[in-house]
Amino acid sequence: MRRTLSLWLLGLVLCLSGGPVAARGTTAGTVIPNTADMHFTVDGAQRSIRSNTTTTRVDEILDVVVVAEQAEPVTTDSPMTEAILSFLITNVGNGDEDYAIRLQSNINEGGFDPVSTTLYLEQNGVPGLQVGAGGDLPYIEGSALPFSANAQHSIYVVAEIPAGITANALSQLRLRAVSATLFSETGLHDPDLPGFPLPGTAFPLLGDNGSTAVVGLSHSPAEPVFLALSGFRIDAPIVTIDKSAIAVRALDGSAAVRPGSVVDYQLQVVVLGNGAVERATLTDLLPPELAFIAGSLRINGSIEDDDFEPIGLDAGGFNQNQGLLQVPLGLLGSSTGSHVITFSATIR
Amino acid sequence: MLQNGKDVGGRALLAMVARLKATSVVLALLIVAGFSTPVLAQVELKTTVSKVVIEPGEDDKPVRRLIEASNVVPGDTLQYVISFSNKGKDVVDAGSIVITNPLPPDTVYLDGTAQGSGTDISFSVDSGTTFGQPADLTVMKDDVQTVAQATDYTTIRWAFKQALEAGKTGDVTFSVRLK
Repeated sequence: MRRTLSLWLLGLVLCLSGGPVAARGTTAGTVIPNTADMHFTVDGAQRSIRSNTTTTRVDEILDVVVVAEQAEPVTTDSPMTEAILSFLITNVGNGDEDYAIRLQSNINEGGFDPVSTTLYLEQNGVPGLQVGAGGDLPYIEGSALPFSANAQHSIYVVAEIPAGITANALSQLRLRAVSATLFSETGLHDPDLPGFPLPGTAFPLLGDNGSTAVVGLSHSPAEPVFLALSGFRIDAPIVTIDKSAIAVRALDGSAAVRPGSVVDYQLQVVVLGNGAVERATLTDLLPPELAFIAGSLRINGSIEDDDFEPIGLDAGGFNQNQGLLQVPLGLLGSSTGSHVITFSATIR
Repeated sequence: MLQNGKDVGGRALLAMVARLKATSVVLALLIVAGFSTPVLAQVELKTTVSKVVIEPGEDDKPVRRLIEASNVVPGDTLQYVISFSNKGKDVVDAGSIVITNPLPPDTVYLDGTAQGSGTDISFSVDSGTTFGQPADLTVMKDDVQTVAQATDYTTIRWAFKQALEAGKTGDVTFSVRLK
């Protein structure tokens, strides 16, 4: 029942709800009366009597559902100043209740944490986040957000993604809606803390219209739905390698493919999509029928020697023993452009 | 008031007081008699409500239990019992007793739960204007007249066949689900 009559929030709710919405179930505090009538005759004389009236007051269920509006982690670049998640929060209880929205952004295991997060409340009725005049409103985490029965609010999480995060790395965030009644009575807003109320926990007189407030099944520890998980995944680029024989020179000057002919090969490495991969290395195992021509290796037009010296610095070259061409490309991303590697080989 | 040297006025006053006392006694007797033998108070009608809970019993078989209806939420089942007793000396005529109970607001009737020994039970879908057996009740849905469902019922009626002798009691019952 606990409501904070913040004027701007009240106006906000009226704006978002677009008028009365059907409550889920009988409204909390409603009194259900029952009276019976009886008609009979005594010696033929008609009589009527009426029973007492029983009254039953309907309790308020504290039930709220938070749904992440993206089924999968949202892909993003690293770095990214504004990566956005969207959550839909619905008061599925049968009374009016304030809920405090809280975000936990450091729960990933082995993933990364956003540099910072900011919450916004859908305000202007236009799907998606709009910031600025006429746009959506910043929401102060933990502040009271009034929900009438069955009312919904969308919350956007804007996260700054740090730089240097590798492709496919994950960040996990959890958004939860905590009942103001529940919090005021227990001081707890984290379901992971001991003593967090279980479904069925009753708070007499704290429901709407003097009813009892009861914690609903959305707070089931086994399957809590008053919170939702979502997150970000660093976009993995698609790396394509296009290998082609761009020229064949036979000993007789023709382009015939036969033993002794020299074939000029080109490998073009192109990165598609966002994101980046680190420490990329191109390898090409030459078949026994081909003999690598020493000194023919070029990387983006620049001569690259065949050896791997000095060790640790020069990882590019041709390993004669293995017949393996090896070219380190390092960071590959949409901003690094394509790489062109050429070399020549003789057909044995 | 003196008359012939006698206080006749005083005697008259005493006589008047005596008459008033007698009248008061008669009135008091009439009042007591009026409340002690009213036909209207001969039969008493009482309704009670309980919340129905289903709990696991022996061998995990569900057991239906009634508890005080002090904490109810949407979806709960409520059971109402209407009991009556003939506390007078007269016999209530056979076939004359009819109990009607409009279903409580914000509830729906649970099919098959209306019971009453020795009664004919009928239902109404028009707030008690007409009553009938379930198969005979129809409602309009999407402009099509269809057989009414239990959720369409508005009122329940129990008609007793037997007389109700002095000192005898009886009851009827029904259950609803809170919307």
